[in-house]
Amino acid sequence: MGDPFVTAGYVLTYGALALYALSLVIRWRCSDRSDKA
Amino acid sequence: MNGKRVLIAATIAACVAALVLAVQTPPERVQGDYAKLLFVHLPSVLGAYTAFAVGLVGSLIYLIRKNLTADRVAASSIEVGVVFTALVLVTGMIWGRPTWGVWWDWGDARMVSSAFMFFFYLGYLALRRGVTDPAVRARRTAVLGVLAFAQVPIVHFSVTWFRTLHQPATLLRPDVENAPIDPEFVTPLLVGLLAFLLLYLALTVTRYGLAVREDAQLAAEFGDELAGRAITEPRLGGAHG
Repeated sequence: MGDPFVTAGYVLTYGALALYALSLVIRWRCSDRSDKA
Repeated sequence: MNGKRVLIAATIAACVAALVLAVQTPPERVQGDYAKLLFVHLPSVLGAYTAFAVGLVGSLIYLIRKNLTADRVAASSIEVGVVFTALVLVTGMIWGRPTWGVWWDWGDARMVSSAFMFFFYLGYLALRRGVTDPAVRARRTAVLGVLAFAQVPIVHFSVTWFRTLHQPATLLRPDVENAPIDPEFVTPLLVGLLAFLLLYLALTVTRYGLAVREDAQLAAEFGDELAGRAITEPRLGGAHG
């Protein structure tokens, strides 16, 4: 797993999925706030 | 809510297990560590296929029953599928560079058809953004969701129909018992597939909840004055008609 190509593949895959999940959570929180406003 | 927490916990546990197994798997005889990219590339493919299949079913249900829940499920699933397809393209390029010597080959049927599918489904998401009225949006995108799915079998069988750079399917093949894969690679691959299916479920369920909330906000904001109902339909026969 020390190879830069393999590391890049794993970091990009799990990183992108984590960022997408985070974006959903942020959008959820923002819509929650605008509901209450 | 409790079920959702269980799903998220199971997803995180499966992802950690998939990562640990991938690290512990010995290097492949010819490709070395590069072969371990299979454990993220193939699960991403399966995630995308599953997402677009659910998108197809949701779109068909909407067209038959005019059920907005089915429309939201289809749209949420397709959005997650687009993320997985982007990962398929990126991990494929990263794997291709050290093993094939190229990042991309415009002559390869699998690469080009996958890229076309990615941009087609991006168009689906763009169309969804462009229409405000939920009923009009649902009808238009449901038609596109059904048409777009035709690309999934084309992408999958492109390696069988055209003999280009990409190798034939490893697991998703009729003679799966003769799959060209070492037994040591099977367990990490299966755990990776399970992890990505759980990821697909968790992301789609979350995106669906957000879609319900977005539609409720839209209805509260515009009421019956949504674009599709407020704008009169165009008629021929004017001054320049």
